[in-house]
Amino acid sequence: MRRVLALLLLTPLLVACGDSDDKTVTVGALYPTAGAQGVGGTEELRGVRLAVEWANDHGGIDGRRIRLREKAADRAEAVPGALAEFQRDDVTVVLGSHGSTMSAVAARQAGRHGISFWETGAVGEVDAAGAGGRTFFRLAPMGASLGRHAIAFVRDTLAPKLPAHGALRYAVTYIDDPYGRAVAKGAETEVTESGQTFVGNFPYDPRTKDFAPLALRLGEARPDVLFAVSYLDDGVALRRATAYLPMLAAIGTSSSFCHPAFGDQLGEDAVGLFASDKPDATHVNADALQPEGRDALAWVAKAYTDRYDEEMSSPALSGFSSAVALLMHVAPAAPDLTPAGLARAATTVKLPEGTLANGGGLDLAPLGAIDAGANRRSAGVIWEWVAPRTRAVVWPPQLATHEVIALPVQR
Amino acid sequence: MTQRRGLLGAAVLAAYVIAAVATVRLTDHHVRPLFEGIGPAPPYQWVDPPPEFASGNVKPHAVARELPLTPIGSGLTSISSGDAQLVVNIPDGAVPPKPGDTAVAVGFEPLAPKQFAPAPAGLKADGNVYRVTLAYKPSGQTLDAVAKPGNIVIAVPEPGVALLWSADGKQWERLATQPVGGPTTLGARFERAGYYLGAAEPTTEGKPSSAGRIIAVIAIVVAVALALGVGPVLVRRMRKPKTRSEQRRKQRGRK
Repeated sequence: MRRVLALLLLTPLLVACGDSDDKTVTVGALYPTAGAQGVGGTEELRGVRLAVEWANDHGGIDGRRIRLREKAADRAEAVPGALAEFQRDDVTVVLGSHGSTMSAVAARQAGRHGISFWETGAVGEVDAAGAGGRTFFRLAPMGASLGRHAIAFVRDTLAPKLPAHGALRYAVTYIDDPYGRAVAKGAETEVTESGQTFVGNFPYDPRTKDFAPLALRLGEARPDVLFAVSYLDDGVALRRATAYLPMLAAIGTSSSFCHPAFGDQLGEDAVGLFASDKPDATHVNADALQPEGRDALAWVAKAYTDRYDEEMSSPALSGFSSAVALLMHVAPAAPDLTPAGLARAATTVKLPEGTLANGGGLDLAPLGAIDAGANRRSAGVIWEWVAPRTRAVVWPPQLATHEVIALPVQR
Repeated sequence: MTQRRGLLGAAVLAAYVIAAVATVRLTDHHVRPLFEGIGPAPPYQWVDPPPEFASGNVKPHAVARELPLTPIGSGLTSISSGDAQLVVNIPDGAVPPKPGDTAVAVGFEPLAPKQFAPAPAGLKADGNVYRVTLAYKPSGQTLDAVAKPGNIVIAVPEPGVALLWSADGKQWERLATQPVGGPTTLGARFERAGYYLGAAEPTTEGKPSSAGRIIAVIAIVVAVALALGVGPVLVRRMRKPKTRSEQRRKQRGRK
């Protein structure tokens, strides 16, 4: 009788584990797979799927196989419903979301649904007081870091190669949304804190189609260096509208200036432009990686090409590397996969740069820090369009595959 | 049904091709005009936003357009709400000519779903209700239906499964619907004026939450434990010999 009663008392605990049990653990994946960000979201999700495969081949999480539960959210408004479904299915850890507008909603909502959300690609600012470091973690670079990297690169590496000039005058133009604001803020901070000349911020409405008035205002400010935060179509239009300005350098960021389609659409007009972003699989200098990162990169680059018949893009590599950091390093160190358990492990696990396949490492900022939950060792690089439709990683030196060339940007 | 779906698909595709060709011919924007680009979808414009999206919400406006009438009636055209949340495409002659009238007025009015009947069982409202009106001008005579069907495309905030139609907003009819480029854009045949609404599957119903399941299991376990543990005790008590005092009383009585 005692045995029967003991078994009965254990039953609720077994049921509480939901979809996870002693042999498997379920992890959620929330990405756009259609709509405006469907292409990049799908690529990032593919990277996550391969990370699950790679992690399972290396023992899963403490011997338990990882099962991915995928849900699509093609726009920010779909995120709360998707998180509610994950909660209903007892999924407590979710990877996502590729897009900054979706990431911002996920950061605000994850805690309410008892979920620990791990951002693998989006860089935009989030307005979710208290979520960072508790229920929201960003493994990809913060937007502000991309902006800072861009300015530091121009100031320290490119400026000495430019034609004779006085003190460089910097202008920042950006799309007025969470992504644009985050990256622009980082750039402006780097300019002003390092004593450079800042000639102004030039935000524009996301619905802007005609960039001639903005180009006129920029021309009046007479910048030597233009830092632009945009998406693809507006980035191309912005470049076309500002190509005649007498500038010495122009640098953009993820989602536009670094994107292959940007070079395809602009051809010759893209040459000489730079972009601050994440690397892709074919442009990472494998020699600069730690053995773990090198092995992972070699495997995933081949697996991705074999499976999808295309090279592994920057979002795909970011999805893979970020998911590996969570599944193979943070989760095994956590007492359990609850938000509290993962938060405890998140700040104790540190990985040196180069441990991950994209060249990044892991150093999640602790609670109380201004960047709580953000990865301070995320992988960020500077791309340059070195010839029509040809780009290369030129910075940081250890990850570069091409030297920096100062080319004229005025047409 | 298959033929209807095929026609709808062909109509949506035709509208897309027309828009693509027009974009390339008439503008400098030499890329595919729809479902293209790396930027996010613009924020959904709610008439009655949920609390999490109330901050910064831009309320959508009603739109009125006039289509000139020719001897064959209205021409091939695409009418948009201006915020990319509603598009109606109609073919040549969708509105037939009418003596004395020179145009047809098309109106789109975004409305809050809570003013109307709830979506049918198993569905929930997904975004705004749109009232679509058609009226001849200058006579003002309204039209309930078009002579030749076109298509209606509605953007919804959450992944949707159906478009609903109603003549008066009191009862909804589910239309044959297909996603257009993704689950947050839905298309259907456009045949009638009236009220249109996107619908999604509810997320809060169905499988109970983990906590609910645990409580239910605990209740069952307690019941089973009682049955297994207390039941035999009761049976034993019923069979057990009486207490000594009772036995003594019984013995005395016998004496």
